[in-house]
Amino acid sequence: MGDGLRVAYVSPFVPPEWLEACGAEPRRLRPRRDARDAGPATGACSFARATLAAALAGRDADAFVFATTCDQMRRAAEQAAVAGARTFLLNVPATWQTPAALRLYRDELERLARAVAAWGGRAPTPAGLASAMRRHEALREDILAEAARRGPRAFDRLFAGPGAHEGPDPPAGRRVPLALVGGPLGAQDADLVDRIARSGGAVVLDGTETGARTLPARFDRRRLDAEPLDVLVEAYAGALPDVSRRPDDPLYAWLRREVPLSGARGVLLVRPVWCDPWAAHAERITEATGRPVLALDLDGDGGARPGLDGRIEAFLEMLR
Amino acid sequence: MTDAARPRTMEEIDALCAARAASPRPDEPYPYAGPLARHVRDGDRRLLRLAYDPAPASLRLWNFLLTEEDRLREARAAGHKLVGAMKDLGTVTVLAYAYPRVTAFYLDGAWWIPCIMEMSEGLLGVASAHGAGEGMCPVRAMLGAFVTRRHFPIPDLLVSSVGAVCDDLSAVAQRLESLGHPILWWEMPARRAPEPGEPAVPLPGGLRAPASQVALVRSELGRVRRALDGLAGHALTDAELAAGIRAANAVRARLDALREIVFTAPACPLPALEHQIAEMLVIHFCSDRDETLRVYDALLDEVRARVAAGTAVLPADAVRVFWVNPVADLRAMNLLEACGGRLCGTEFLFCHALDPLPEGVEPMEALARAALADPMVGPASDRAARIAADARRFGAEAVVVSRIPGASHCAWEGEAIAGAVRDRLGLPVAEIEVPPLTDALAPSIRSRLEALVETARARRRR
Repeated sequence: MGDGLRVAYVSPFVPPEWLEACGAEPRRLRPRRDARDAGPATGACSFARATLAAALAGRDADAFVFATTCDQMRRAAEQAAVAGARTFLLNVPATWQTPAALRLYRDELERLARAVAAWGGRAPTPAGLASAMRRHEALREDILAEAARRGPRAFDRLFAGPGAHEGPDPPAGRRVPLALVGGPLGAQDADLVDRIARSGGAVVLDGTETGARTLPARFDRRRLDAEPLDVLVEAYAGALPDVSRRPDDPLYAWLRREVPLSGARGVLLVRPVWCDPWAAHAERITEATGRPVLALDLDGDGGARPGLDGRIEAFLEMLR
Repeated sequence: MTDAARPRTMEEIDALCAARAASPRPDEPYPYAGPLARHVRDGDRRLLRLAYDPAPASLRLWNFLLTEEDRLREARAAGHKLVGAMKDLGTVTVLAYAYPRVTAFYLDGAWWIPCIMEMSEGLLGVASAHGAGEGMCPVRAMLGAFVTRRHFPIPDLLVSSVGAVCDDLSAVAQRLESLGHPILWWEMPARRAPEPGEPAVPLPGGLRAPASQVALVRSELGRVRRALDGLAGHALTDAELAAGIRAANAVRARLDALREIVFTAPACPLPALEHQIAEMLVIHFCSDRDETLRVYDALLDEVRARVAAGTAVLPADAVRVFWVNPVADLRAMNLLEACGGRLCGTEFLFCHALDPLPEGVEPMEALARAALADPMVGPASDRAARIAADARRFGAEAVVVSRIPGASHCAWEGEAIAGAVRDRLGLPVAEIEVPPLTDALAPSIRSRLEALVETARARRRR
């Protein structure tokens, strides 16, 4: 960690290794949605509003990195900057199949490094980056192993800030295995796993934006010391199966592979209210995985819309 | 306002045209001519509820707009390759029209079908059935149109920009691809201000962008060009592309002249409805670039004649309103005028397609610069600044920010634009939402517009 400069972000495309190599303390947040959040109330994604509120509050970090993976987050970044928050908007390519896309991402990381240096960080070195990459990869492998034992709560360790480590482990017992797929979960959505457990289900795969799906690919160890930035770029921009990628083949390749492997009998598709990128996926996920899908919109203080428990129970009943 | 220029119903327009055709001095013949009623028979029922400008030039505009589907089918029958451009307001279409025997059209334009056909076509329901539900922008009608295959021929090549675009369109286009329609995606980065010391280039509209972003867009458009080369079986030369850019600029120059006259004339010479449609032609030439030119020439002749004669289509004291964003229901334009307003400046999300493409640089560079000047690609503050500057230039007395239901950007941009207009110009602003059919909401939209017009009138008396 360097010099106490805390840089927050929510997007999985912001590499903590890079921030650390730039002398910052990376703090990935899972902001708590609140109906009183800043930003427009009607038509705006609740997660983007929560992220804007976190950036404006400034409690969790000295600066905030937004990513362009969705239109609304891009607009939230603008509002944060206009309001005087110290922000950086990382241009993340939506395409992934061309050298130009990877070059854009690399250029943007270098631009980010200059911004972090101006905020009080330092210029990254290859050795420093390689070392940070090894540390973070080890952490992720540890988390994945833990997730295999005790479920998606293991991913809480990826996050900083309030609400990220709450809640007990789900009770033991015979349960209907489910995959959780979709957009980012906010801090209060930790409660969702409990709700599912109370209803007789168990999340065996966290394919949300804040779970296993958006972890970067394994680093190429043979090239890690010689060209760490190239390896980093390939692992993030070249491989992350995000819903924003066009075409979104990597997302569906991941779902086709991981959902059957997990043993899930059904898929819960979750998205914040007014999140467009995750609209129009339920039917495709059913086709890709062969599993029934229940689509849930997440919002409000309770982390879910009214009637959620009943819908989950009915879904589990159908799967038993 | 004289009787000759007063708005008419569709039946009145058709009767007027029939009378003119039978008169000793009939209107000059033009392509796609015919009574508007024939489009109603094809299902365009909204036409029955609109008020029209009676000028022959305006009727020509309507007939041109409403016959695009026929034109596309004829183009295909004549051996043209069809290119469907998505999230592209005047870049890929310019490139495509530089090729021989290639016709490009703007697929997102399908968002007007539910309005024009008064929902009778069921496209939004089809889109919902494929996951693109009511929470999304009416552009989801495009998905329904692909599924039903009833509204335009399926293009030979689909091209869509992606990246700094609206999430609705991106999601709908991806769903489209999943249904078996491959798309050539090209990257559009979020435009940012150049950093201190960073090489930068000027963009149309007075903007500047980092040279690296322009280079990226240029290389992405190069991928599109190679795909078009393959589709057309023709390696486009830079000279051909430069000629295409000049032709596009000829179209843009005419629209610019039309806007200047319509927005600055002391008395309004063209109704808002016809003006909005005229602006839409510039995006993709309504699948016939030559006729677009002729339609603009006819409209220019008409408005110049009206201005010279002092003929107005609205009362002289109509409040000058700047309108932001296109409306999903064309009838909203009639409503503005019924409430005492007149159009005096527009920003329909494609102001970069109104600016001339640079001709002093290599043609691909010109296209890249123009594409990056797209108001959707940059920060809302850039867009707001242009709106405020244009509103001042055209002497607007009020601004309407029209929201597109479900559109990801509208929720965030409206506030920024309204704030900029209030801060810089002190003008009254109304934010309204216009769904594909406004009938149920017309009373509330009307009262918002009337209040805005009243406020602007009260400011005159100060």
